[in-house]
Amino acid sequence: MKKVQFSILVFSVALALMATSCRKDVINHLSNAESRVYITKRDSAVNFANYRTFRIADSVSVIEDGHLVKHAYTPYDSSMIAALTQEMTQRGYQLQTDDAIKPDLGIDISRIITSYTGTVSYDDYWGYFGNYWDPYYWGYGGYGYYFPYTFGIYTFREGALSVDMLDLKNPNTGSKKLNTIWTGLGYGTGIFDVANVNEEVQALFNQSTYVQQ
Amino acid sequence: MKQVIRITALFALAMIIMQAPMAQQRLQLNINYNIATPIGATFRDYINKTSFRGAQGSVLYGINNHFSVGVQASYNDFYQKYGRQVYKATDGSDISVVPSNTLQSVPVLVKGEYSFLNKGLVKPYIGLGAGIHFVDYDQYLGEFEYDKHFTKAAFTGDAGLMVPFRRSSNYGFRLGTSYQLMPFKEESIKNLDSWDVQAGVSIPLSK
Repeated sequence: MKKVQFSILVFSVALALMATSCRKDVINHLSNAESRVYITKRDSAVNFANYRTFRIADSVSVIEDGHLVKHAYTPYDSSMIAALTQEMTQRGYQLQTDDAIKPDLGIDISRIITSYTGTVSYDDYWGYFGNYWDPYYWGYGGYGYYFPYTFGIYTFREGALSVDMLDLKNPNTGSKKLNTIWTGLGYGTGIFDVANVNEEVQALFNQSTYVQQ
Repeated sequence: MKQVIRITALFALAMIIMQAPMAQQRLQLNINYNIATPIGATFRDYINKTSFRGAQGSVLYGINNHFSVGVQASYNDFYQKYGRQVYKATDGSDISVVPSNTLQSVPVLVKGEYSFLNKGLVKPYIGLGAGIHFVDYDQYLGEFEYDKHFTKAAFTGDAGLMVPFRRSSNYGFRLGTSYQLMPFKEESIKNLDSWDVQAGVSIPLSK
């Protein structure tokens, strides 16, 4: 009887181990491109056809663990600025190169990095947005930012790309705030790889067909 | 790891308790490879691909020459990856992801089986079972995982053939088909019913 009991126990363990080891490894069956997630949000009251010109900030904010570390211009950053410029131009917007003339739209780019694997509250990120991008840069010294929308809490492994589009044509002179009218977020494996810049920009704008002059 | 412990503990404990007072000569161990196909619109909306990653095991005690009762445990891993899709979130944002849907199904059942013939080249049987269904629901959006565990009821009905290796032997080859009735009502899936096919061996646990 003990022999049978032992046999049954061994069989049970063997069956359980065999069965549960036959599980598809989802992550290993995803390419780097497939692993990435893109989220966009807009101010639904805005008609993007009402804007004509744009300018992109000439550097990228690097934010680590909630603190602005630097404004950078790495090969990834320069490729991202170039790709966004091309995308906006293709959508009918005109790049404003004269620094003396305010564009209708300003675009800020940020690389958000965490040194731990955990959750990041985007409410915190946008809470400190003025510390990362002083509106003085856009000719609106003393102004703040207004976000008509919020994001939730996301977990990411490497970092996140954030592209924010500002309404410079209609600053809120009463509250002294610049409205953010569109945000694109991208995160996942390889998000800061230069080779993926075009795919990232395409993904963000493919789901934003309303951004059109 | 939790699934391993659950299956082992439940199955082994049930068997050890069940067979302790009983004669060993009528104890039969069945080990099968199990293929499962999702049935039902909501399950197939989640995953419509057949699972070829599965196993089934049972230990049955022969009450007489025709009826057996015992315990059966199964495992199947369902998986399907879809192309990149854009979803509208409740907060108005647009989310572009490559969704990968997975589900691990582990029913542990008390089962009764009736064998129409206790002699012959082919012994057809039918069976019914009821028990507990352990479910691991795991959806990936890109590389980001959403994982939930559920415990529900499970029911099965099956039919098949046992082909002895030799005329007078209780060792044999088993081939069967079964319908798994698995109420669920979670994550927009009404039930996890599947149509299964098993093939394996039958081993007497007798001296």
